[in-house]
Amino acid sequence: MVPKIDKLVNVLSTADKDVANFQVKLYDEMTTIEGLTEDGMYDATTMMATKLDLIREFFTMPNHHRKRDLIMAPVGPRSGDAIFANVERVNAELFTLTYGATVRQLLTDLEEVEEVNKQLDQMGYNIGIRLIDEFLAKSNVTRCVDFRETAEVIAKVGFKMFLGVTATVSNWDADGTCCSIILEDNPLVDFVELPDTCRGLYYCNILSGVIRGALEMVSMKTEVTWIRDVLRGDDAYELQVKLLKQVPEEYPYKDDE
Amino acid sequence: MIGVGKIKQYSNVLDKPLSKGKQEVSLSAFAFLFSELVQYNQTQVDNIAELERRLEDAGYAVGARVLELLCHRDKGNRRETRLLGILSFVHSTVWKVLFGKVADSLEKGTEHEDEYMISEKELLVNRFISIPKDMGTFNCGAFVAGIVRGVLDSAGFPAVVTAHFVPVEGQQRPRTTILIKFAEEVLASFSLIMTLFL
Repeated sequence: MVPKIDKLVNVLSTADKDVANFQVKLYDEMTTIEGLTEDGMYDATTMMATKLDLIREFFTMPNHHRKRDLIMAPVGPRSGDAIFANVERVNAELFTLTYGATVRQLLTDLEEVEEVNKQLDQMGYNIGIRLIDEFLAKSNVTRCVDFRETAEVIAKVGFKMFLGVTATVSNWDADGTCCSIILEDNPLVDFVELPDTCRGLYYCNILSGVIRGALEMVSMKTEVTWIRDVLRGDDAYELQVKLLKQVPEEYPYKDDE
Repeated sequence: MIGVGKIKQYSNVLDKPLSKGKQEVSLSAFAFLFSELVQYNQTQVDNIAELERRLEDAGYAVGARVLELLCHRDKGNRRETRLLGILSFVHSTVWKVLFGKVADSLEKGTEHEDEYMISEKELLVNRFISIPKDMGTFNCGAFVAGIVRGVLDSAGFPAVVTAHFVPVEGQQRPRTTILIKFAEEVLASFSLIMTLFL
């Protein structure tokens, strides 16, 4: 059963733009799977929903094409890959070079490397407080039970959906309020080498600002610092995210007024 | 120590193999960054002309690097040396790499010999930008104008490049035209070559 479902997923992941085509393919493939049990079907649809974001196509198929009554999997949180595959994208080089131009401009204007770090963090923060809306709207993630889950979601869904890269979470402290997000790939730093005059620069400081800003909008005060930076001679990009305070939600208005 | 597979260390950025340029990021990521770039520059200026100049400068830095990158990667270390060659290089190759499509049109100015125009119905950088009324004719396309100037200048074709909104009939949003006015010496050397050949 599993290889068959895998095959189904493979056929579909060629991502037809044309919905009708897509449905025909889906139908054809499903009819070839004989003895598909309800459990198997459940697995398949879950896989489609979480991995490939195909469930919408599935829903719009005519009933008789669905072969049999299905137990539909609930539409769960979408994976970073699925979202990234569906959003509009631009060439990473345009992004990299534009970021480089921004940093260069800051260095010329502000002169002090420390000030540039601050400004980059501020820009990131500004982005973060707006980016969280798009993130929540597109990812379907529900409330995270704890900070551990939050960190995982940032690394696996957040980074993937915006920058197309994944990160890993590690180095948890005992009470689960402090961890490291380690970037495997970083589109900001292509073509970059820091000259001696910029040794104190956290070139990617905008990222820490984004995380801080986004988390603040979901009631988490955090402190985000760079632990390792390849541009400074380390072997990876490592961001430490420390949860300072969870702000209880407050309504801005009172009911009786 | 946590092993990270993809990042390899190179002592020098030049030792690193050049990427194929197929990597992508989401359009929103770029839009967020660009919006911050514009907003930051707004805090540094007193007037629109200054703001456009600063965006153009930022773009120039991108353009100069794009030329170098593309000549190295796609053209086997050659670059265009003819006027029309470099223009079509900007219009097709550069545009395709940066914005994922060839520019809508490349035209020669009708009134002046030394003017060329690249037009785009919906410039990528202007996608999520609306200009407040009090900012008049300001166009964030200045950034793209800067890119074009960076490419042309670095290839030896100095020019003044500006971005303008041009209203299109029946369309709510104006298109953006990048106006390229070549420096005198460019056309002079062009006609000199022509006389030498004729």
